[in-house]
Amino acid sequence: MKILKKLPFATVVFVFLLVGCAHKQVMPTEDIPKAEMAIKEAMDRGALTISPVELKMAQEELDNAKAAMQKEEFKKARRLAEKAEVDAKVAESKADAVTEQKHAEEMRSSIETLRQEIERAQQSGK
Amino acid sequence: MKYKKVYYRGLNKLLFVIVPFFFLVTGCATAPENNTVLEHARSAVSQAQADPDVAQYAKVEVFEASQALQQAENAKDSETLEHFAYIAEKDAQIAINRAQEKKADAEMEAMSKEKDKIQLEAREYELEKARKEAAREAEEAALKGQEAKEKGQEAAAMAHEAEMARLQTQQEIAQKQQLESELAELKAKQTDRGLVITLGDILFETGKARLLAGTMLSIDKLADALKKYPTRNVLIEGHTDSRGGETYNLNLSEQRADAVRSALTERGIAADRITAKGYGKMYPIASNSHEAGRQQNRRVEIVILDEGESPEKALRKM
Repeated sequence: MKILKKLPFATVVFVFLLVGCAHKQVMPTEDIPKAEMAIKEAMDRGALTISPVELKMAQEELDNAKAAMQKEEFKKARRLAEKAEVDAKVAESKADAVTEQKHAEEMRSSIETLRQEIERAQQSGK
Repeated sequence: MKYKKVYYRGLNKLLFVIVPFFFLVTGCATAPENNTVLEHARSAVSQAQADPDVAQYAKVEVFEASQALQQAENAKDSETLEHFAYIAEKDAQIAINRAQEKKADAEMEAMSKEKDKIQLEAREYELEKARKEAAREAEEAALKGQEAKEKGQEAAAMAHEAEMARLQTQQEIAQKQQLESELAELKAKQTDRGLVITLGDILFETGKARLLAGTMLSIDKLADALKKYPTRNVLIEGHTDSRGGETYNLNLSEQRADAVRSALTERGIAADRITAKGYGKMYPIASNSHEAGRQQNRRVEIVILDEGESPEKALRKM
């Protein structure tokens, strides 16, 4: 019975524990949509074919984040969502870089072709 | 008992304080000791920072990476450290990717300009070629035109020549006709030897070779006609009737022919155009048995030879 008397004290301590340890542990309402958007963006840029490994990593992290949300492990969910977002950005930036490099390469070879055509035309024109 | 009780209470209190603290320490704040993760993040970030392309094209991204790394360095627990180390490493990767993209983009832009320039040059070359082609064609056309013109000129010259020849022929015919008509007054007759004009003996005194003054009109007309046609030579033949000796008649006929010749040369006809010859009674044109016939036979015949003919060919046989 005496223990019951100590209950308020214990409660106070637990509350401190929760507050002190998890001052950031609010619901990650923004992080998951941000990650989802980043993944969608990456897919739009062709990450599915160009950087599928990075994209898959982001998707798995997003799934884990959602699962953590279900379990109300907000801090974990938030960090997983952050990881998902950053991995989606890696996938997207890689896709962008590869695409742009490919375009540059195509341009380079088209210039080369053009040069050769002109040279041929000038030689035959003489 | 009271002591015991107090002890218990104190222990109880202590327990309630210690246990949460234990939780607090283990759950929330394990000391950052995961150095390999941090090392990874540091090396990734410094690699990105050392990349000149990143410095040029991905300043924001590399700053974000360094911020995340700073958070990892400052982390009070390993979970936070690991999290931010992860973020920092990925941010560094993003910075490198972005730098590559922007660099390729800049290259694209430069190449696009180059391509435009090449295409412009190609177009200019084509234009120049077309211009040269046109100039060459124009030159060819001009050359052909020149040739055609020359041919035209040649044809015109030929036509002109033909026309001139025709005119000359016409003129010659007209001249001949005119000569004929002029000489018709002198009773000229067209024969195969040429135009023959017969001057009767009435021009001469009997037995003399001197031309009578009244006959000079006929001689004048003859001289005028011969002056107009300087290319025609003249043959003058003296003839007599059968009376008298042969030598006498021959001499007389010669003298009369000469008299006509001198009369003509006096009137400006070149002596070398005139050949005079006496034939005596050799070529009568009528009977010598009566006076009328004899009078016809006493004559001087003037043969105007055809164009360019020499008198030698037209001479009669002696």
